[in-house]
Amino acid sequence: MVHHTFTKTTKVFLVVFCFLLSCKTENKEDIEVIYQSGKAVSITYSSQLATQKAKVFLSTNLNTPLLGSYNFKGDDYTFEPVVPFSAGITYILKENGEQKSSFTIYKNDDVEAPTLIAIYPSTNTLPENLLKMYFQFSKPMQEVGSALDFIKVTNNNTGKEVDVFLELNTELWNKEHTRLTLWLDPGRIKTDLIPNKEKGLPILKGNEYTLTIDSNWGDAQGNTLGKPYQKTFNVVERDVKMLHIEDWELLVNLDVLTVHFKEPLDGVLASKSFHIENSNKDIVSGDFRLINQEQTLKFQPEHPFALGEYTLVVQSKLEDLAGNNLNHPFDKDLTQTNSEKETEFKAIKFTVD
Amino acid sequence: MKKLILSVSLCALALITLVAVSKNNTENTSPLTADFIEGDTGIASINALSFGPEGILFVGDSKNAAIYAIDTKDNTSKQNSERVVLREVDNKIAASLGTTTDKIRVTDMAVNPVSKAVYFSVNTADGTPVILKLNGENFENVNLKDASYSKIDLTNPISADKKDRRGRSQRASAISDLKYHNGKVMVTGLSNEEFSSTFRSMPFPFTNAQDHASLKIYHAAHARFETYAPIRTFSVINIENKDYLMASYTCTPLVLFPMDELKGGTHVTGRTVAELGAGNAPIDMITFERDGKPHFLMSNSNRPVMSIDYNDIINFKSQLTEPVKGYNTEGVQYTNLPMVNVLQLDNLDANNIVYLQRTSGGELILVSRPTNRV
Repeated sequence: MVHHTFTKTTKVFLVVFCFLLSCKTENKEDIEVIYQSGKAVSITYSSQLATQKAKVFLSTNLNTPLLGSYNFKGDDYTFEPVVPFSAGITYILKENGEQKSSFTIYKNDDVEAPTLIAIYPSTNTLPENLLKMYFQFSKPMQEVGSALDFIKVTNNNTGKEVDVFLELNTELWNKEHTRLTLWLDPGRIKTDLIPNKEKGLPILKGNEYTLTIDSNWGDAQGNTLGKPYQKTFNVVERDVKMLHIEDWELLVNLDVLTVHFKEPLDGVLASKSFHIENSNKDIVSGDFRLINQEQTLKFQPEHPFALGEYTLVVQSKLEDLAGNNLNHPFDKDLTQTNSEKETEFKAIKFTVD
Repeated sequence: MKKLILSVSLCALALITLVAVSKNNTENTSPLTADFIEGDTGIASINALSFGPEGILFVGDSKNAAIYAIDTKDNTSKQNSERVVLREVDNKIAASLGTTTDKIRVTDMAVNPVSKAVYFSVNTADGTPVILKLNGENFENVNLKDASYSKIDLTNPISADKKDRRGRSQRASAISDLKYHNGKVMVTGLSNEEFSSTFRSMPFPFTNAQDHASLKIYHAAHARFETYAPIRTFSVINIENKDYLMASYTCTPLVLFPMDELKGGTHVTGRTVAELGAGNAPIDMITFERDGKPHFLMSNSNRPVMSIDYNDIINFKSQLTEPVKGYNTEGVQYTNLPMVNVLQLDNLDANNIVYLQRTSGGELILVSRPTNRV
């Protein structure tokens, strides 16, 4: 008897289910999802399906309609939501409490997953007072959540996870949202500051650390990295010296200028802090390239150098890995008077002969 | 003759109409919005919101390194607001935007002092910037693609001399806070490259003029070390007829900078008047009038909302130069309010504040509270 009732119920359920399924399939054809640059930006539906009074809802929340604009063109209505429809979500078109149709935004599997292209500094030997790290991705990453939820640092000497980076309300990304800057808490790096006394330095000399980037970190399209990334580094003594251009070595021939910094510099700043002028103060066009783990800069002029005098001009805000720049060290002792004048630029002359 | 009279009459009528129309236009145009343009604002990100007069909303856009002034046209005056209680705010915002709560983030909140309406800026996963206005229990979209607005780029002070301009790369700056005060928009931010923190101020209506200064604080033993730490939030305080920027930093010093010195690219060293505890970051700072004097409230990441009395600030004449031990606090006195996990905070009207709070049960709620209870 119990078995019989169960079969009967199942049969009724299947009939209802098939009916619903066929309804849905038919209705789906009534609504066309419009994609632009991979984003589901709007829908259009026939005026026979519903009027402009119809509203779009999440299938999981039939009380709050989506915000957006409705337009009528020909026999069709268009609804453009304020934010493009999200992949994997089903939406309902409802009018006067009656469900008119539904549609689901499918994930575009053809889209390539984002990758982590580089972590700067690229060297794996870092000073104890390292100031920042950059993470360069191949695609714009998601603009919600906290980046620090996806980055873990473990001290391999103790086996413990450590808190290294400064948490900021406004994360520091470039305009394209492909490069993240993370500061190691500057207050902990500077001698005698309260956070330094409280918590000590973020990373310690003589220790090895592994940085792990979570595979679930998503891009703006909702695709995740898909695999974890790791960087293991050793920590050496503090770098407290101000940068001096006199310490750099310049080698030049007709085709290339090579500048050896003799230490790794901030990769992002170094890639945009230089220009070269000829004796008429005109800028020499060409390409700058950082190599050798940001320890060497190569400049290839568009046309071979003419013989003569040139000047390599560098912005003084250029920093090494510990935030020391061409004007002052990061951890500046105010009791020591600095005889050197702070300037916006520094210059080195060289001759092509 | 009749024709001539008719023509003259018609001309006179046309002239009267023209005068009437132009007079009408003049009456409808506030000098504050006279140079506003209509169209797509092009706002790419929203990090900070703040209202000015006449329902003008200032928006800080880090991606475009610009400040926008938007005429919300929401300028019907309302003296007092009704009590605000809105539950499941994140669920409602997510549903209004057709997505889930993990795909949105409320980046700022501001109350229009004219209409008392609450506005939110929301980041979405794909990067579409959104401003929502709360109307009753529902949200309305503030159309950023078709708005009346003006804009100012946050540029570096660049010399007009072309030769002097070379080699200076455009600095990207993340905007940390934004406020309108006495005809000026003030912005704090930090660079995403070199280690620096800037303060800018610009007159509104925007002109080509903008001023900047870099701010230093002594945050250490014996005033030996300086830092360019980023300001998280700030307010303005008037002490003995002089305006001061009252800025709060991570971990949590409270520092005063004389406003009249914050110009011309100078390096200004502030006076640290309070250490409000390590392991904490300030979120918002607001001020309201109590007994004829300003009173301050500050919300925090890891501490309750702090209430700070004006007299305690002006009576603290010295500056802190010794490190504070443990999680102790020093300097200007404050009271911890029974308000924790307050994520956004603003004035609702003269007698009420409004805040967005994560409750112990995990729900995100928006509630108002009378100022005599804080």
